Amino acid sequence: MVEDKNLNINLFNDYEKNFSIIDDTLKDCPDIIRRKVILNSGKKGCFFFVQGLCDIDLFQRDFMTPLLNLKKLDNDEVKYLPNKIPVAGLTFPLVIDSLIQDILAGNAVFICDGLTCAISCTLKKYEKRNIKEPEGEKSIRGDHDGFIEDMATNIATIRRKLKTPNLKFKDFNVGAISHQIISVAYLDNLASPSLLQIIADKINQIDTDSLIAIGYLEQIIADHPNSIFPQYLATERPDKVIAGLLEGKFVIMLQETSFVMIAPVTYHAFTQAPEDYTTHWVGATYLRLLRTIATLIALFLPGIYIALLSYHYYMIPLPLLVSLAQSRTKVPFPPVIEAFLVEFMIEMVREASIRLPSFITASISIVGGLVIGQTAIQAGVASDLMVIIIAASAIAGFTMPTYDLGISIRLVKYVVMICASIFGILGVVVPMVTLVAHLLVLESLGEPYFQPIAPFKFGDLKDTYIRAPIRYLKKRPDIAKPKDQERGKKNG
Amino acid sequence: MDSRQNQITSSQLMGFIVSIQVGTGALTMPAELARVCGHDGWISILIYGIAITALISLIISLMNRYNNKSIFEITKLLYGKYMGNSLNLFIVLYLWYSTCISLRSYTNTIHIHLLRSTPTLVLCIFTIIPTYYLVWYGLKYVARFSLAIYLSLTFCCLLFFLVFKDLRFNFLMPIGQSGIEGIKSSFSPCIFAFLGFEVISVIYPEITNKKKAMKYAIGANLITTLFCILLLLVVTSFFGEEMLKKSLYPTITLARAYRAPIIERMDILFIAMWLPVIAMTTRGYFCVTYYSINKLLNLKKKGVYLLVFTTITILLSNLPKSISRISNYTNVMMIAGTSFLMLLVISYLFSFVRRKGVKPHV
Repeated sequence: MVEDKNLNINLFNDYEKNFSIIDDTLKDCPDIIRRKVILNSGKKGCFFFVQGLCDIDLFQRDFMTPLLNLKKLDNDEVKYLPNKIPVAGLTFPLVIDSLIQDILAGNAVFICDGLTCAISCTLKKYEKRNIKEPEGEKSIRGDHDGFIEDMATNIATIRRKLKTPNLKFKDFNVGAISHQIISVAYLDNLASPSLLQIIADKINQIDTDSLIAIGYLEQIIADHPNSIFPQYLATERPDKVIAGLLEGKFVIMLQETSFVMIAPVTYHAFTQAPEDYTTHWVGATYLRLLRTIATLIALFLPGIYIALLSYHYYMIPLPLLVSLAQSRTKVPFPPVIEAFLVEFMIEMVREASIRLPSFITASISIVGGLVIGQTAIQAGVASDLMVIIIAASAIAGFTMPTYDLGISIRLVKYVVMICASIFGILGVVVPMVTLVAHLLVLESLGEPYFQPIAPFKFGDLKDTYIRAPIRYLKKRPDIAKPKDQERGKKNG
Repeated sequence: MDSRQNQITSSQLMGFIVSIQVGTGALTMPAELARVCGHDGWISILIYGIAITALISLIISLMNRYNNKSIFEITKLLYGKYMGNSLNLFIVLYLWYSTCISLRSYTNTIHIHLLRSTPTLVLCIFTIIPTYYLVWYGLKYVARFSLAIYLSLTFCCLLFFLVFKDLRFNFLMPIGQSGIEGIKSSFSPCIFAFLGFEVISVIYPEITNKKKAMKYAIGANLITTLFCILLLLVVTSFFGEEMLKKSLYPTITLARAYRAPIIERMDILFIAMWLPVIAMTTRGYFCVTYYSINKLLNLKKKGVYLLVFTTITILLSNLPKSISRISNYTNVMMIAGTSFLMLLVISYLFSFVRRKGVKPHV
């Protein structure tokens, strides 16, 4: 029996046979409870449910008791059952395979002698954490709620904020072993159907055992999987998701993960924070420009410094050059080695402090920042200006609102530093051009990644490096090719 | 390259052409013009700019007479298979030659001003990385990138503004001193400054909105003309005629002459900002040459051939040993370019005689 493990068969008329098939499939699963009963009508039956996923109180009160009290239960009587059992979700699976899937998904399932279908009832109740603000994406003036690992709660959060029938969810099943659901949310009247088709095609091609985190999915469906730049915006913040949906973008949610993915996005989406929209536009523009300059500093400052020091020292003003030369006299290394020593130290402090408990992190920052930084200068391993430069670029890198882009920027910075040490200022320019070239080539769901800079779209510039007043942001950005360009009701 | 990645819009064409035209030429052009026609170079540029605008409209009307065909197919229709193929060979060789020459003069500029002890071969390999990367993905991305030219032009104009108080416009007087002779003798530097628009005839089939192509191509030439005139006016009135004749790279010297408050040696910054522009000339020719070779020979494996093509280009561009030889080679490029232009004009006239393949309703 079930030799070929083909469970895609209808339930048999014979209760014992059905029971033994299911029991055999679910053997050695002590968490799955088999509760054998004899009904009022004298028939034998059995309840299956997963301990911990099913609400026992409800199960006993509203599912088990009414079924046991039934006078009569056969194939004809089943169609009147929904009127007799006071539960919300009630289905009647005919196939053994779907019955087992129901059990594993947390339903309570009942099979009975003389019935060629099972009775499956949704009584899910399991432990989930409370909604709280995402640690990685804090906000001062934005909302403080975040997504959690339960997709139903996340969908409810979105629905609570967008009370429109146009909010649709398209479900996909992935994972040969995990049987997860990917749900793609979009606004039907805005989102472009062709982009939805692209997402659907990409997700349908996925062949994997299980997607453990949203990052797996992101890497699988990326347009350019070898690029170090993130091509989809992963977030835990509902307000970002709502803003994305309202621009006609798609939100890809994966069951049992708290991160969701917004697509398609431009490079500039990674440099934006919720505060940009909740504060006054002048302040928001200031923050945007600050972040842009910080990005440039994080990318190029160490490289330019190395280039100037190694090749074009005559570009440095004389008063500065003198003190610079004095501080460098004690250092035996070329600037690039010196820079990488300091950089490596900072990176290690950062990596060490991420996963340690917060009370140890404090002592790490003292050891790393004060002790090593100060003594490295005194011992002549690094010059003080170099420490300042590297620290400034590290702090500038921290201004990135998204973690993914931070890694990309650090990697590019190292390439610039190495090239600058070999080719001087040319070694800054060529990586810069290559970086821009790379950003131009990248696409997110087939849409240009570096728009509205190139291809140049003047109208969309008002929400990139500056943030125009809300009243001027009446048009949706072009990135997601929304069906309706204008925001607001009056414009249709 | 699949066909989708080669399609460009008309506005991208504009940036593409401007970026090929301005570039290497802008660095040396003022000095060469001063040698042949004194301080009246800007008049020559203006006159040749107008002439070339006419030529561009002629090229585009030639292209419009044929339905979605490039010059390579038109020559075959007009002059027969053998003649057409040899003309095509000439065009590709010309484009390739221009690639090598512009690559070499680009690396030469870096060699002289930035890194004197680094061998040019190493510089060549290093600076061609972005070009290689963009061409790998196709003409579309090269054209998209070429929009950065406007940024560099703006920066250059900013420099003009900064040196404005040091300009002496007496150097420009009396206007028109060199006369017709001066205009005649400034033919080769002027044509060299404007060369680059001829690539329209090769990439025309890839333009998506062809109706606007004429407008944008002429706009490109207008931008180049205006920029060159501005550059000549500033450089001439800054240095004066005699000083200009002696200098080699007057635009860079101009940047060096300006004393910025914090940065000593503004020229390094200027070269750094201008490098992408010079590279764009190379990139444009490089891309168009590779595209033509691909199209003529119907290549399939793009990776291997692009590598071979890049290697040969780098080696060829390193053949000239010294800078005096480079100017000889540039002269050859100028002559070949002029012949190419003449070929286009003749083809246009000839297409009225031999009407094979001409769109019926034109």
